[in-house]
Amino acid sequence: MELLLSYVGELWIFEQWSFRWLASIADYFGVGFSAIVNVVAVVPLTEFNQPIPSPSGGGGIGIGRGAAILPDIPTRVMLKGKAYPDSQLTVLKDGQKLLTAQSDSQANFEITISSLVSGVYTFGVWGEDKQKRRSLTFSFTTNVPYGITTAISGIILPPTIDLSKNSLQRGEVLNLLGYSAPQSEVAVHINSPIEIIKKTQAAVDGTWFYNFNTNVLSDGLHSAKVKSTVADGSDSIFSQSMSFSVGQAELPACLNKADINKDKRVNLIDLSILLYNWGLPKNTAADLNCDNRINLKDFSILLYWWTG
Amino acid sequence: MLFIFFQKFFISLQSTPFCGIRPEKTEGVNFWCKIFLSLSLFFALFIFDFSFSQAAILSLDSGKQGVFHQGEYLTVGVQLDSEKECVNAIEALINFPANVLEVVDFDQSSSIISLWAQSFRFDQAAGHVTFSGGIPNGYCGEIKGVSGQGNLIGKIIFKVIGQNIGISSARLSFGVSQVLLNDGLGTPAKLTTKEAFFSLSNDPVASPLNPWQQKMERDKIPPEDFKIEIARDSATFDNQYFIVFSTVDKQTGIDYYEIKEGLWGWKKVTSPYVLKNQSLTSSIQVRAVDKAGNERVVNLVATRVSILRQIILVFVLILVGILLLLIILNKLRKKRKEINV
Repeated sequence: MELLLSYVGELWIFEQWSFRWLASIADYFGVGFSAIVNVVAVVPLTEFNQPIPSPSGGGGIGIGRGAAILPDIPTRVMLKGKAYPDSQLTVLKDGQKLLTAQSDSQANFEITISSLVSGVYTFGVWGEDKQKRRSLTFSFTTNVPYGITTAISGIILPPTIDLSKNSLQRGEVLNLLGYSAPQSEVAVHINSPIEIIKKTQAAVDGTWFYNFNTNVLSDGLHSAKVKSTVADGSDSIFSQSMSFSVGQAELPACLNKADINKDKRVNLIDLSILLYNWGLPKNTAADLNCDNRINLKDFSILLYWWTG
Repeated sequence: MLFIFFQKFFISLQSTPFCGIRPEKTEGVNFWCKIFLSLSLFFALFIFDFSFSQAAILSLDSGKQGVFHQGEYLTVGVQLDSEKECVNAIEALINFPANVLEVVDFDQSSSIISLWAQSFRFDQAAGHVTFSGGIPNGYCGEIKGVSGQGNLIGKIIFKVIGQNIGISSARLSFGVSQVLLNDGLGTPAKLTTKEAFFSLSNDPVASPLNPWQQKMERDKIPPEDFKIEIARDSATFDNQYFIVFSTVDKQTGIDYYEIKEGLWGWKKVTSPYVLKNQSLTSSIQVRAVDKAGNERVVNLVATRVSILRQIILVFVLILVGILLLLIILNKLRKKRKEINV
């Protein structure tokens, strides 16, 4: 997938609206914003001469060692993209839950993150559809410069996915369903010795559905995952992989899931439990890949499922 | 790049006697030969590309060329190139010559890693540094911004030491290291490591610049805001309540955390931290301090009221009740007196 990064400058020498206007033109034509980016370089302030952002959310009090009386120029990040119609979105900043937002009826969202200082950030967005199914988190890393708004557009959340059954007899129909961007093309990937790819289209309300006949599968364990492609050709990352068995095969006891304390979130608490059990597990629930050791692999699985 | 390489390879093969200009062969044979080569190369390209598609590169870079003199500071950036794959966990061991380089600090302010499984540690005598950490939901390469590097894991700050080293070179290399894919299985990425060489001289520098010290002196910004969460798990810390917290500092990085539980004093801690007061009747303060000494303090108000406080509250309520009763009785008495009069 292609993400477009552009900048909306807010310097004293230019009117704010003119930057926004130029940014929208650049966004429309899908080109970068290098001309404006070059202008940003004339800001006579170093990255350290930033005003201390006001405390937010948790109510923490920041104490700097000195005071710099400087103009309060906002450093912001704007996230634009498509999720599912009227879905709840959660935004993460460096892995921590930052805010929640809502997509509109066309699944579009535009979220502005304020009170930032310049630096390298990893932002993540995950969505929850009307049936409370969660998507995987889409994340990206970028360097946020001081005093301008960094706009990241073209974010397409991966579809949500659910299976009608986890164990089937060969020849039974497996119903795969979920939500995606309205009228997007949904590619269903069935993991088999040879990968099977089937395509369907999401409805206007974002729902997608596919009836898969398991006749073509051999007895054993399989999995399914989906990705979507929207009208402009942009595609999402893959959804999470859902396992199912055909015939006499039993689903594996180890599902590589990461919600260790079963609170429906994967966050610092789960990470703390994992680190507490590092090495030989005292709590088998922390052994995410069931190999009787807790190491970097389990840490990696936990980070894959991270919800903040 | 790979495609160009194979394209050139194909052209060069075509001009070899095997399949190219062989006047004794007919045109038809030459045609099938080309088809055979094309198919072979197609599969070779496929296999080659597939085997290297899930790769990552860890490299070391100082950003400065030339000779480093005794007493001078050397900043070595540890960089990750995920080669357009998505990775999420990194474990690295970096070897350095302990007789000529001394570890001063680790700058993690611009790091793409926001969660550390094992924070930066070094063994000066053994000459190696280690760390492991990760990026929640993965790192798929940087979206290029206008400034700085979005592929940096951290910078190791060294000081050139040692006597009579003459003019030599210092080799920094990776030991046992791994990078894992963000695939939900913890699959190791095919890792390539790039070592670095630096020229050293024992001619001392009169007043060596310490860019790390200068950076810390300029930093006036406290760490980012964060939250404290209380948790309890039957199989962790003997089912005791513990708190978790984490934040980052984009200028010089987090140095340490301190906690203050109720009336107890401040003490250095790491997350997770098992609470002393398991009845959750004390308010908790956590202080994140960056390398420059700026701090951010976050409060968590006590979730329960202590028995002593409950007793005091009941006692005060009873007192107020008695007082009100006395006032009412007094007023009633006065009214009766007035009626009697």
